[in-house]
Amino acid sequence: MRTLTAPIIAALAARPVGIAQLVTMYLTSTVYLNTTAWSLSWNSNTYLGAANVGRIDVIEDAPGEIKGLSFQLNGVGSANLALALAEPVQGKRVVVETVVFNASSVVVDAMVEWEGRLDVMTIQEEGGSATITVTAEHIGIDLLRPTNSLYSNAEQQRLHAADHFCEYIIDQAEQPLIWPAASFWRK
Amino acid sequence: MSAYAWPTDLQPSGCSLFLEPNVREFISPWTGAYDVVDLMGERWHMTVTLPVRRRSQAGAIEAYFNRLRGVHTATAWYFSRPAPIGTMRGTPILSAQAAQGVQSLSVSGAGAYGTVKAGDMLGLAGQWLQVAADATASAGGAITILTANRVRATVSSSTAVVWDKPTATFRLASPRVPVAHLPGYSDSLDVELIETW
Repeated sequence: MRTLTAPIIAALAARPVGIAQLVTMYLTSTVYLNTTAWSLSWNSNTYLGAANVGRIDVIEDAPGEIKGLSFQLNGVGSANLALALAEPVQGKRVVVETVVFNASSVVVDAMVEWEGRLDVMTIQEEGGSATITVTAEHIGIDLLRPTNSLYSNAEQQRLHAADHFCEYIIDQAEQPLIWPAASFWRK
Repeated sequence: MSAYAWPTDLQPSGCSLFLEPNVREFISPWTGAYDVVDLMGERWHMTVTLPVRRRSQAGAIEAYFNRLRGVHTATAWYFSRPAPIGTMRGTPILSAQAAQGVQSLSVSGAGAYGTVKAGDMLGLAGQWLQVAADATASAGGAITILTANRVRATVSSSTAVVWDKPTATFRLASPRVPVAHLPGYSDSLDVELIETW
């Protein structure tokens, strides 16, 4: 369940409600974008208005599923093309926040809507237009990924060379322990 | 991308203007209750009607729109009201910073008892702001102007408030502007412009 801050609750209760989404891509040089046609200032950063050139997939929540997201940018601008061609985006963090405006069109607060890691960036050209698309995996996908670290001596030595805690773990595994031993009752 | 000024001799015979809000409306199918979410960033849409022209003058229309090539933009003023109906003239400036999203401007230098009338179009840092309500300046030329649309980016104090043919930047709604040539003249045509920044 999401907990809303008091300023957001107050802004939502007022009419009309203004909302936008902020996208922060932690690339070599952090990219700040927002879904409105204006450039917005928040947390001392300027989020460039990408309403004319950008698109974000609908964020869907489904029980038992962790869904990815896709971001698109108009690829006509040389700066955007350079971003797609030169930037190693794979694995870089991306955060989508929803901001709420008050009746004076001032941002009152932001809440994280989605967080993940970027995948490969592609450039598509068709019908006289070019678009740059990058998909991202939700950060929660880590929870579903199997861990390759085992409770073995070799793994423990790799992590902590001086620690011999798991040295006899194979000898001890699945050994029946009878306590007290039968000899105790024969005394 | 370049911005080409609207040719002064390309005077329209008609002009319509509206402010297109960027909102999403929600209407309850059960109760009819209505709510709206503001996504920020309203834009001006202006449709100009260019009159019938002599054959010798028609080429200028073709050349101007072809030069835009669907890539470049046009800077134009509000043809229906190039100067305020109110009496504010001189060199008005902002007397205080106008923050992003505000609909009120504090202006000085508006002339003693200078007025603005609802509907007057003012220019501020390349943005059109339409006066929402009549206002009168003080004897010292200070005036508070309420606007119909919002300031889209913070503008610092002392910035000039343009009243004489303030311009905004537009792109063509369709990059294709066919000029119909008839024997001896070119037909009138409508061109739709959408504000861009």
